[in-house]
Amino acid sequence: MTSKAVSYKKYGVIWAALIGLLAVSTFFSHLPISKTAIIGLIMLVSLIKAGLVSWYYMHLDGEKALPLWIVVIFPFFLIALAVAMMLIGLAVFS
Amino acid sequence: MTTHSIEHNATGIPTGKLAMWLFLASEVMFFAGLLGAYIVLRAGVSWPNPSEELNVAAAAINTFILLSSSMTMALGVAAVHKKDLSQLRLFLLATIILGTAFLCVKGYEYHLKFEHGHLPGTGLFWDCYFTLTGVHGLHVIIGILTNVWVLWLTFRDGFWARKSHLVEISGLYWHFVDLVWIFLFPLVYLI
Repeated sequence: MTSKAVSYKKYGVIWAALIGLLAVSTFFSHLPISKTAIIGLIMLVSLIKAGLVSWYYMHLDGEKALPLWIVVIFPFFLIALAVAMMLIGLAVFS
Repeated sequence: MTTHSIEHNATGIPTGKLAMWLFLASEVMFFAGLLGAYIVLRAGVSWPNPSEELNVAAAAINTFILLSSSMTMALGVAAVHKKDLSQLRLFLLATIILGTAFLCVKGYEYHLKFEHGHLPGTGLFWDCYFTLTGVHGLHVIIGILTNVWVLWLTFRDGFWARKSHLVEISGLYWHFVDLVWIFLFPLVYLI
């Protein structure tokens, strides 16, 4: 198999995983469980999807430059933390 | 100087790529502000069930379209690394078509809402819906136009020598638009 075929296949596998996770998150929204649990499960799936896109499609898997990691990871981490805390607040107080 | 015109700075990262990542970091903060406001506005008030008010099937189809467009964009970047011009054009065109399809579905969704009298200014729920999806739609339009411009560049002389790195930079922006939708879809339509 050529390197071209292998590379393209990898992107196809990631796409299939993303579509599968889309179906999973839609399924979770119909589960007869608490709203807090549904929010937690769906956001977890969204984080996995975002991780797959950024790691493979945005090529963070091959990124070794430390300044880029500081620029990228730090704000993403802070934002994820802030949004997660607000979601928890929404689930607890609503 | 190499045959490439990609500029590097003290960080060792191509300047254009670093600039795009910095821009995306600022975009993350922009959307976090919007999402934060949305979550705070929802808290403590009676909020309609989104699946009863919105077209979840259309949004799921749009998610499928955008995820697929991310794949074709990544394949376009891979085609640059292989210096395969015909495949690069094919994947860029596919990305543009998928992005346009996303906007068409979104436009259809808006049309249905307008027909039922749901407009911006007709309630907090609809204000949030149109603001979040509208701002994201604006980013999709910018991404499509950028990809059209890059596709046009592939037909110009000196593309491989001077402009091919723009595919990766344009791709980073497109994937970011996809990333935002990955969070918008459940937050607006499912939860």
